[in-house]
Amino acid sequence: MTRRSIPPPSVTARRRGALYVMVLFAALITSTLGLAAVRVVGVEAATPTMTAEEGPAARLAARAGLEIAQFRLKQGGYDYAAVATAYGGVTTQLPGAGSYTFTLTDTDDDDLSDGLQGLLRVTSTGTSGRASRTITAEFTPDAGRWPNLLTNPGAETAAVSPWAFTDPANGTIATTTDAYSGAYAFAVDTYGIDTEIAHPLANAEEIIDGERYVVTARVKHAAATPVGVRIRLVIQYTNLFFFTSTTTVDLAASADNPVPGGVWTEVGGSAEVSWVGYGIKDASLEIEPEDDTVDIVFDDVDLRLDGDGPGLILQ
Amino acid sequence: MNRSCRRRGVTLIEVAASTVLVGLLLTASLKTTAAVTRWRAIGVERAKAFALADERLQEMLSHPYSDPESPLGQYLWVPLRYNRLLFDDIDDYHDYSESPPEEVNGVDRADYADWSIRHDVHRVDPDNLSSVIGSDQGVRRVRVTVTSPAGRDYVRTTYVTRDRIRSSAEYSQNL
Repeated sequence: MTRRSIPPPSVTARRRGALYVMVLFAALITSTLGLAAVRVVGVEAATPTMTAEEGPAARLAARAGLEIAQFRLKQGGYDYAAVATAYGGVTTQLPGAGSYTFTLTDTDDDDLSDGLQGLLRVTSTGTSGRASRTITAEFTPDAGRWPNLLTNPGAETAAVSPWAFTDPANGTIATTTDAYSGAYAFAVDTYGIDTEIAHPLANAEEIIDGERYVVTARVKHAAATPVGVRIRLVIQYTNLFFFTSTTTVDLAASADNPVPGGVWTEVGGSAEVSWVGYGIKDASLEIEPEDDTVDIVFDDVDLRLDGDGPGLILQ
Repeated sequence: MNRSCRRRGVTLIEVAASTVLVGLLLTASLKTTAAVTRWRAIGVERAKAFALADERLQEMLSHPYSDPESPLGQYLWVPLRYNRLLFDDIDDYHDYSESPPEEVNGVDRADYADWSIRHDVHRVDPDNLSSVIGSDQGVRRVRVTVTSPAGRDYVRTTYVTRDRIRSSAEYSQNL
């Protein structure tokens, strides 16, 4: 058996090997640059999507979350702790618009279970694709948010206007010092025909279609038996045929508001107003005892939008 | 041909392989270049479309949820919708479209010739936002669709509620 030795590579073969290595190295560099270029192209293609599409969409989602937080707060009667427990931190899908998550916190002590000590901070985070945006708004309760729509609710300046009988021939209205609160109240002397006393609203546009309004009043009379008191809102508006129509909304039904003789009694109620037409033209509040023969005294009439809670003011 | 001559130079197979490789690379690079060019064109179109959609949504969101004066169901009377100056609540935009998109006073926008825009406002179930309902329960879905000259649709959607801050101007300024 003979042993064969491997001959050493020639100079030409060594050069050729070196050339192969160089080519491989060059290919490696080219591939790396190519991959980097592809990556850059991908980022470049994705960036406009991120900036033009997803960023603003995420902000809109955050804004929608903030609005829905307000909706839930009103729906929940402004029970901040209950709303925070039921909906806070819950990610909700907005079909076609990403998703949102909102949280409620008390800026004073971070604890809503003991009521609102400071401001109510609503933080809403919206997400769309790879983008995420957060909006924070702070609110304070607004007890006076929905004001009394009547300009003369209790005759405090000893003036009767704008209260008046809808038909002046049916009775008279004057002020009296027999008041429930303050110095004066309104005294109605009926002629026994139709006892509708009206207060036109200074700004009828404050009555909004679809909203609920609540009314209260203090009433007294001297009759021996209880008398029901009705309070209603009379709305005049332009109808679909551009004529004027009138709709009447019973805010407080007489059957629900019996007033015994001789004592100040609070009457009231609420109702949602609605009509189908164009702009509202006039609106007035009417108060009427069921028994047209009974003279009444009334005071502190209050008509306002049913805010269903304190409302919120954006800080 | 002696052995050293055979080793010098490149073989036909190596030349063929190199040609195929270079050809593939060239084809791939051309395709990539074309794709990048197309991406860029669509990216410009997308940015322009969403700029218009966002602008229009901001305009819509600056209006109240319900009509403060004329509660005519869901629509402003159609003959009155010849431009957006009379729109005073979000509902008025429902089923309203422009081609080409217009300024608020009805003048065509020269920068969006051959584009179109349409608006949809629907009442949705507050507990199931994907469900469109007939009665108003306090939440509406607002959608703006911008269509490019190439026929591509770009959609922006958001949701508004009845119990948002009532002063829209105040709301817009703060948010």
